Amino acid sequence: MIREGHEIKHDLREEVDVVIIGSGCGGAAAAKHLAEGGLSVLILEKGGYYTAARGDFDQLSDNMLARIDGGRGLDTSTNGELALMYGNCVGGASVHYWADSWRLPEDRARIYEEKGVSGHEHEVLAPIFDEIEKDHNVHPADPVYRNRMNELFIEAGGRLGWHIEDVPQARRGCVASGHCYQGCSYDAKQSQLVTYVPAALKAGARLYADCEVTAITREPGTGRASGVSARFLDRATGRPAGPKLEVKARAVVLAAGGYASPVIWMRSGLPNGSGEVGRNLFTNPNPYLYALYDEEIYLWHNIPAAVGTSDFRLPRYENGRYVEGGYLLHPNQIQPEFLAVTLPGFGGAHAGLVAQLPRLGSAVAWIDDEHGGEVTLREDGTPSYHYALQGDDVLKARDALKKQAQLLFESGAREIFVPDSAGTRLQGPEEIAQLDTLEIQNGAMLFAAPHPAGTLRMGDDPSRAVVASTHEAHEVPGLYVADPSVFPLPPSVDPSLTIMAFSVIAARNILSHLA
Amino acid sequence: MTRQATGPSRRGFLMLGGAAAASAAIMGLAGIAAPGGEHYGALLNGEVPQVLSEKELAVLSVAAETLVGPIPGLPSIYETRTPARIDRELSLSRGTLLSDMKASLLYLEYSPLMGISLSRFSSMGAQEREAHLRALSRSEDPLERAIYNGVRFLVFFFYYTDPRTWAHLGYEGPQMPAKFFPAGNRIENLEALS
Repeated sequence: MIREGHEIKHDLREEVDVVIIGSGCGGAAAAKHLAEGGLSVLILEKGGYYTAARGDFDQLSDNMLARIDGGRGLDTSTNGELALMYGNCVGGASVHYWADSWRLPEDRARIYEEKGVSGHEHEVLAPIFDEIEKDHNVHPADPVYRNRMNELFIEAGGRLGWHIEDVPQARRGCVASGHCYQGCSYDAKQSQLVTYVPAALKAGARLYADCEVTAITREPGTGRASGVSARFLDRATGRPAGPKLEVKARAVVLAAGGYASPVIWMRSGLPNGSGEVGRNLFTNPNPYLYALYDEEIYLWHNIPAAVGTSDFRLPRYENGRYVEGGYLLHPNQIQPEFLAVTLPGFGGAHAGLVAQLPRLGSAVAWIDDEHGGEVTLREDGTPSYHYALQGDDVLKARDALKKQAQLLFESGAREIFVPDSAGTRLQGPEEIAQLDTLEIQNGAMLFAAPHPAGTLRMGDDPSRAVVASTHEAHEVPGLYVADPSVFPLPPSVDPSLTIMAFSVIAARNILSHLA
Repeated sequence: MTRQATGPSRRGFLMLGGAAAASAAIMGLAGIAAPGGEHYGALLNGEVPQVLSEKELAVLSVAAETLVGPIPGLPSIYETRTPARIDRELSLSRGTLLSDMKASLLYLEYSPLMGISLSRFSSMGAQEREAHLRALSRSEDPLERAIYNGVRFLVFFFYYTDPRTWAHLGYEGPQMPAKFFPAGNRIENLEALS
């Protein structure tokens, strides 16, 4: 049962076993397993409930960003370097994701162990991934789903000696519309909206949409989490609609995502003995380049990244100095309106570029960042996201741009456009070295930042981590965190499957506690 | 006028504090009193701002006109109501986007007076405005780049989400019928308000 904000006319009180804040990959996976385990579960989602059946996914970028994106598509870090991308709807960020579905690599699971995480080892996760992949129909995309940019990536990557692989996709009956980022109009992309949210509801969970949690409440004396206070929002304005909700629960699951969960923590005045709340903000920043071809590419057709290469996923060092790598490299997909926004320049020069959009190609990298930023609250309680590329992450971004340029020229590009303020252009491979010195920091380039993590770090040492490996907060018994906030480092691949797998472990721990 | 660049991690999105302070200083140095209401009113093209002031919407309109430029066969930024849609979006945004944009527009209007120009941005000729925006885009000062990028992003996004521009982009458009969204920022939303 889903109840939307406009249906609520009076203040409400609820008493349940578990209240879950957020309905994305973390919240929905936890809800499904807890409800199937026999607990009464209430999910609270700040965003609205939108469905393909009601025609909500109309593929208009402006409408859809206003519906499903946390910052209506316009949120940035404080220095303007990152475009913050996060969900604000039932199903969370999975509603706009690309459906790339990787398991946490074994090497990264080992690093998590070294960082103090236990109970999430590769062997523990493997059978959970089996189940999640089955539930989301994860499979390699059939070649028919490769757009021209994907084909060029395969051909040129092969000539460069790179191993090009299929990117596992969570799709069922994809119609190749190319509007994945605006939310799937066909229920083909296996987002949480069409998988674990309905599975949780089928098992008896309930969900309130348009419901913003204002505080996690605690028992006086023990400090144990006792529920949440929330208010319903008017979807037309985003402002409080009037009715409020008080929930009493035996356990609280915080699953609002890497950008929002630390904000709820801080607004609730929860303890921060480790000093790590809101710190270690990793974002998987995405540098990208555009290229002009003689043939039509149509970047916005078909699925975004049917293929890619993991050859550079692990960074390579020599004598302690960075050499290359530390990112995934994929063909890029950007919708026409965003291509127009991110192409450099203005006036006649920009209009000339825009007129060539069908012949533009692009490649993108997902930087496995290791220098985190920080989330803080302003005096009015709104969040600030402080993040600047630094250290080896800058070198990774430069190396990723150079590899992209290599691939784009190898695949026949006549010219490359750097999406920087200065409008830098590369006329041929001999100019790639410019990328070694080009200014890319301090807002000179805008990086997409779709995968926030690390802001409520997990680890068994309470002096260095916010939550234990059970997912329960060290300093707030009864409060569990089940989203990428707990990752001690980014997973080095798209995080959706790892978020779900970690949430399954969180749910198992809650079930054993409450039983 | 130069500003010492500090670490970027504590600045606002458009570095509100720096932009507002710099603009105020320029206004003071130039002895600028109250803005000419008639001058700005004539630039509004009949739009009534929701959260920006008339002066801010006027400066935004001039900036949008310069950024998009005249493109044969495409509607103007006034026909697409791009400035009004941005104003509408700012009315729905939370956080500092509105205050950042206000500070940016103020800076944009008065920053030409820091150089050799004797005109405010909105009074400049087309070529002068282009040169000023180009200078901001290539500035070594992150503050000026952020102002350029912030205004530019909103202008291009709201201009090119108008369906009348899509043929120019080679975009076939959605494969689904549009559905009115009360919290949207399309022209239909502006019409619903009026």
